[in-house]
Amino acid sequence: MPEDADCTVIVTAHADLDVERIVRESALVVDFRGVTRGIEAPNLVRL
Amino acid sequence: MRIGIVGLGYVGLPLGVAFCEAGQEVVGVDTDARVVEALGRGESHVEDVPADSLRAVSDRFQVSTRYAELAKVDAVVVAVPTPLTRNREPDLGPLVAAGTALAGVLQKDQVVVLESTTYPGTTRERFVPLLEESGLAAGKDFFAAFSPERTDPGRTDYTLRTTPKIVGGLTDECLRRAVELYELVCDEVVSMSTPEAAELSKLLENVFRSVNIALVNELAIPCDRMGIDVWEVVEAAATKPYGFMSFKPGPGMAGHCLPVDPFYLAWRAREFDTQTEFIELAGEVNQRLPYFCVEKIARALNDHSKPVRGSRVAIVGVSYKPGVGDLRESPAIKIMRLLREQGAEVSYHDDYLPQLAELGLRSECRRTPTVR
Repeated sequence: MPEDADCTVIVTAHADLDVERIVRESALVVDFRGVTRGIEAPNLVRL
Repeated sequence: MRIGIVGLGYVGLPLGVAFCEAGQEVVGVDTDARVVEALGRGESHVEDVPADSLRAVSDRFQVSTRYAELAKVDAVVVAVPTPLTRNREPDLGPLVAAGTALAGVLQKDQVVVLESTTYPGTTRERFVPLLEESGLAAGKDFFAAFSPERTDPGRTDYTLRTTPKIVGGLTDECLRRAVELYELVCDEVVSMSTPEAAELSKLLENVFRSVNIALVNELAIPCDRMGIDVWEVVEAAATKPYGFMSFKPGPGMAGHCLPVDPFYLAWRAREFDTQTEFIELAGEVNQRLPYFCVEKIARALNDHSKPVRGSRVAIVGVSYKPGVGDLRESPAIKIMRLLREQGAEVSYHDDYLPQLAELGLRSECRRTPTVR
């Protein structure tokens, strides 16, 4: 799913979420849960 | 001991199973026939109660839609929903219905404990008078107490047994009997002087969270403007070993308790000609967050030269918290609705919720990355 979306939004981070892969494969990621902390990428926006 | 449970939801069902596991006989009553039928087949509708643990106690756990079954128990625990009306006032409908039905089967010497979260005074002024319609007197013929549920769906580090249980009895004897009941399943039982104090302590626990979540959520907005990472700020403050407790910002407050409980307190406070402004303000701040989130999404799209209208937005995770399939008051729904209103094509993925009837969507499962 995320690879063909214009924007992937992390609203609830269940334990098995592969955050790195979401950031790698999505055009744009908005993270409202802080689970992407430690990842720096031009397509990543955090709350 | 034979124990009755009224309301077989996320509070009553785990409690019933725990009493069974402690070797007691349990009669569970729920007015929802579908729930009772499913439980009768050994199927659990509560994630924290796996079907295996339900089946393991099936010989000691009887379920029914009939209150009459409760005439043969020694104690009854009532765990029914306490929601809000459309006007955001306490809705004691389910509680009144349970009290009325229970009065019809109440027996001498039974212990009745209310666990539903509610405003101080409910047990004494609303619940006990219903039970006394039976002709039996509280504190004399039967024993009444309040003991707030502390169920946290999805939590595994603390269990019913290892979480201290608060109890407030109508009289000393009521307290003594209720403490005895909970000592069967809880390592530590905390006695309080009155049911009112016990009722309010539960509300304090929840408004404490609501206020602190509002505080970090409020901080997230200026952080965003100033280009400061709010997560880094919270994590750094949390290194102080005393005097600080860490709460994380997020897209809004959700779940069964936090959005509801402040209204119970505010409503009761007004009756005593006083206000709980700070607590109500916290609710307002938390309600603002989904709107802020949508702004943030729009800005991110704009930076990629895309308008919200016509953009495909995939929401990852829609339940109100990790590890559960519960949507109650989830900010994801609000965010998805707002995005749709602005013309976005919204999809979502959540393994815990295969479909969202209210938005007419199904979870897109196959290609969402998860760690296996």
